[in-house]
Amino acid sequence: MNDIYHLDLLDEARNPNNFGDLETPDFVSTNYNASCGDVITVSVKLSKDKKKIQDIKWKGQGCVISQASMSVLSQRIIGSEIVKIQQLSQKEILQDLGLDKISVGRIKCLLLGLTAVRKLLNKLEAK
Amino acid sequence: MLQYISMLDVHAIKKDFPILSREINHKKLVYLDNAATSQKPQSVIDAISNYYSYCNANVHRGVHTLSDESTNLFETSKTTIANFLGAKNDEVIFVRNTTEAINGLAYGWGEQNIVADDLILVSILDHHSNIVVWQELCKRKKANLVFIKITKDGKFDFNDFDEKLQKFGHKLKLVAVPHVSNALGSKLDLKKLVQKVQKFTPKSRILVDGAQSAPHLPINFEKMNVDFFVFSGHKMLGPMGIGGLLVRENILKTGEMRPWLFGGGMIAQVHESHTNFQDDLSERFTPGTPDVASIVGLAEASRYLSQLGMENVHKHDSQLVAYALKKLAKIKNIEIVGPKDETRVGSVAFLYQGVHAHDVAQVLDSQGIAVRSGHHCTMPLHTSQNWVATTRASFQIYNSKDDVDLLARGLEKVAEILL
Repeated sequence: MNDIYHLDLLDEARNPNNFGDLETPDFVSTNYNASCGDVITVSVKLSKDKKKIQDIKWKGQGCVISQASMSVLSQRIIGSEIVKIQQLSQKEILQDLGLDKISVGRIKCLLLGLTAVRKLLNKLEAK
Repeated sequence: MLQYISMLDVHAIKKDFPILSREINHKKLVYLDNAATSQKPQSVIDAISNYYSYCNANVHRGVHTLSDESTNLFETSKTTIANFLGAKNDEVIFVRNTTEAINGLAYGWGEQNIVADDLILVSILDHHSNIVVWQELCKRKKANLVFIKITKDGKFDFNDFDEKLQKFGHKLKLVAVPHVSNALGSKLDLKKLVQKVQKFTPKSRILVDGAQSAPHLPINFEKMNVDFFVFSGHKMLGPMGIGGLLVRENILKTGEMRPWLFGGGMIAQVHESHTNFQDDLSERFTPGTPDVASIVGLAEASRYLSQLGMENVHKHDSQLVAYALKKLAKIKNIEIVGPKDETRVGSVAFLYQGVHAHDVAQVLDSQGIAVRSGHHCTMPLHTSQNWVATTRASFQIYNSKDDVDLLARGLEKVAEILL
């Protein structure tokens, strides 16, 4: 278990990357974890051709897992093609966090950020 | 300590629960998530297994011996459960759980008694199941749902209740409240509530959510003087999938409440043009083949608790809660939420400064300690108090002071790992 809370992950959660709000976002999306009340709000700025994420900021309250995973996710997707974000898997998020596995009860925590980003991208695609 | 042991022989009781001998993460299991569901003694497991091994047949339908035996088991089990809760047999309607009981009430009673502009009062302490069901009914009926606040120490606020009774009393149809809060352990002063309702709005009905009280307190539906009482078997040592809705006999007799599920078993005569329902009141509300094995299991759980004596069970719980309150208050970074006196029942919940509840629970799990983290299906309560999430340790008859000591030690470890 101590592996879950390894120092890099704790550091990621305590000093998250890209935390905050974008001043002029193209889209904003909020996702809640219904079982614990965690919340993450993501704002993004798209590239001119609208195919890439140019910039992202996020803020939220939650457990170490949800905060650290959103932090590493935000790093991963700056400059990334939207198509690739849609294809991201749970395994890749785990790898980014330096974890092999996570219990079923924590999957929602792990994916809270990714779900928020996907919601936002779905909004974009629906336009 | 001596006085504590005299209440219940926890050491012997633990041996009755096979799951408690399990190891979790190489540590002996310390199960403190009883408010979510309790563990089952061997006698309950055996009762269910024996039913399917030797007595299984459909009830009230066959003339053959097995059907007769199964019907007898069903009826005697029902009597055991009704007696355990101080209700008449006719007042017991079996459902799957508390949530289903409240839903049944909304359809069987609410649909024909709530009209536009009526008022339903709930407490901010209520579980989602006692909120959402009424929210939906109010939406259908254009009625109003109003919340009673809590006091600073997490108890039902009778001043707020008085104000709302004065203000909207004439429109009040139902008061739906938890006997014991699942999140904070706050026990409602039911006598006081009943007196106030009878004085100001005697026609209003009272629903008591007993999911968290039935496992710990002696329950007497007749003496309680309320109209509806709902409970779940699985939180009181019984199996999952069986629970009950107790309805005052008069409400069933007068037709104030009607069946909300229809089919076989609940009918007297079926004609092409219409159906007459069963005279037997609780049969009328139990269409289809009932979950006999679970009812037999729940009866065994009731017997098990009766043998210990519910007064003793309550005292045991009070002592554990008082001990946990004292012990956890000494831990740095912990803020206990909810009542800190003898009115608290079943659980102790807290905030851990600087650590999210899920992380607290995860570290505890690594030490074999099972607790609940989150908002415990009380999101309005958590939102009203600005709590993102809380951690809750909840108790049963097999928990000891040693378990609380292990919890306290585990919580010290949370700071070592995460702070």
